[in-house]
Amino acid sequence: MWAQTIFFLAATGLCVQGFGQTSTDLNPLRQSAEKRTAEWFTVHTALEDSLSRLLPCDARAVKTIEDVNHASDARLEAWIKFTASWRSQTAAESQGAKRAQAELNAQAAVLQAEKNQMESQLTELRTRRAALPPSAEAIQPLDKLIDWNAQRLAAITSRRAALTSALESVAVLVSAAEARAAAVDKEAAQWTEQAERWRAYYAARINRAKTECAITGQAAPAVRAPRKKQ
Amino acid sequence: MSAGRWIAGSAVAATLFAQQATELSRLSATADAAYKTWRERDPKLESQLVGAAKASIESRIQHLSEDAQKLTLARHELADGAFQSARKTLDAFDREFATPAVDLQITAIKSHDAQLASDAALLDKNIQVFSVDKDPAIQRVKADMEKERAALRAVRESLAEEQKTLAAIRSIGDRGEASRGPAVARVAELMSASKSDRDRLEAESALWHAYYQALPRAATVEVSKTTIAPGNPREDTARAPIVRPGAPSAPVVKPNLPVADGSRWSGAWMFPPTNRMFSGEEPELLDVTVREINGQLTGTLFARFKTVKGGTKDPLLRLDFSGPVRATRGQKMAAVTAEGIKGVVELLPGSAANLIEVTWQLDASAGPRKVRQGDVVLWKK
Repeated sequence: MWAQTIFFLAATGLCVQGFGQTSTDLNPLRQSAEKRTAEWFTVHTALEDSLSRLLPCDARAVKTIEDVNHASDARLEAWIKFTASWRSQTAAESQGAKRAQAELNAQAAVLQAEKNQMESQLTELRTRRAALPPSAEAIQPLDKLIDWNAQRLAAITSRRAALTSALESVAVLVSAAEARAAAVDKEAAQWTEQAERWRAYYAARINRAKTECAITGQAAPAVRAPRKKQ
Repeated sequence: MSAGRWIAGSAVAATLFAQQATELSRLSATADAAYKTWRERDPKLESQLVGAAKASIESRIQHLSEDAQKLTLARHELADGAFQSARKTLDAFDREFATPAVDLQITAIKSHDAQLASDAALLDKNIQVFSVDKDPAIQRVKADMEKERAALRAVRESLAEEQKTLAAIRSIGDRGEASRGPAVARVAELMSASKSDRDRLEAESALWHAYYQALPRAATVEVSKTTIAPGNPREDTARAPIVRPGAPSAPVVKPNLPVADGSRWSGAWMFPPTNRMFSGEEPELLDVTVREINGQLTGTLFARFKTVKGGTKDPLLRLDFSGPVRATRGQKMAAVTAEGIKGVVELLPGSAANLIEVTWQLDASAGPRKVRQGDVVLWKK
């Protein structure tokens, strides 16, 4: 049991990089996006308060909104970059899982061929043994070979059982990997769409500020719009 | 990564994917071909050993032996390929499914949405205030505010969608991670089984070698059986003068049969219970065992002789003998008794492969009590 455990750990230790998997470390990209987000959120939450302290036609009003928009763009670009890498990674992992599944299926076919071969060989060896003189010295080594053949057949049966079990488990993982890749793909697409909506929002906010400036520049409104206070 | 690079990467991965499966299939096909070669090379050899010329038999066995070695090599490579394949499968699942950072992202979205909800509430309030004022300028601002509110709503909808997507990713990740452990364990079991199988194949080559090394001797045995019935050397004795009890001085005739290599002598030999041929004291039992290792013969002769009442002869004799295999008809070797008395043992081929003649002669120092010399024909056990 210990030997098996040590063997397993050693083998797992060798698994430095999965075949077909990207080894990109997403953490720096995520941390960068989170930092940009924190920077944006700080200026965004302060936006209306800052604007309330400025006259409608104060040049700093539009500039303040544009600064928030730039901060928003910076964090949106960071998230788009992160999700694109994430999407590549999960897609590669999904491919890797499918490849692993195909490997196991190929093994199943090979194992069946091996089983057929060993069964045929066992029959052959028994036929040849029957043809030998009963007192021939070769019978003893041939019997050993026949015993070994039978043991290997049993081992192949055992391998097939392990393979069947592994295939069932791997099918679940392949399904999960595919579903996750699809979900991350959707997440990446959503960031692109979200970026457009945020830009539309800040454009609308800039547009209102310009309108406020325009109408106050023409004539003072009878009723001033209440300044937004948080 | 650009879409082009991603597609190219996927294509490369798919190609590698196909190559690995193909490699395993190739190794399997090689092993299958090697097996067919062995199976079809000489399927009737064992049944044709009788009467076949030695040189021809040896050549045929040599071919089969080479086929068997190629077969074991191909099988070993296949087993190694299967083990590597299982290991690669394990590699594919070495990365965690769960993505804890998704939780942080969901928390952040909730926080952003709360702020946007606050922004939206303020907009709603201002729009409501402005809606009672019919001043065209105020209405322009109100119209802009409504556009802003619509844009804000679109952003919030987008955030809600993203939140759902991230929750789905987390859920899939959790489920995947829960099933990853058992899958990895099962693939590890498969890898372990593949390794055991690969290790088991180490023994196959030696087994084939032992069989094909022993097979030429089967031909010799079969030839002998056509000459003499097992357990009944009467036919042989009819051709050769027989040493009968009561005629101790009569020489044992040495049949002029070809002598095989050292393996001709190997095995356990016995003094038959009936139809006994001997010279000198009559053994009650006499066993000889001979082994050949690297051209060296070693063996033991053990005998118990019949005694007569009041006799002084030592009924027991044990001789250990050894010597190199010589290219001579008989094999004469130095011998020593259990008491340390030196002597000589000679093995001579019998008239059939399952017969040998054994003679021994002890030094004069053996004294009168020891059976100093003898000559017996033994059967192979």
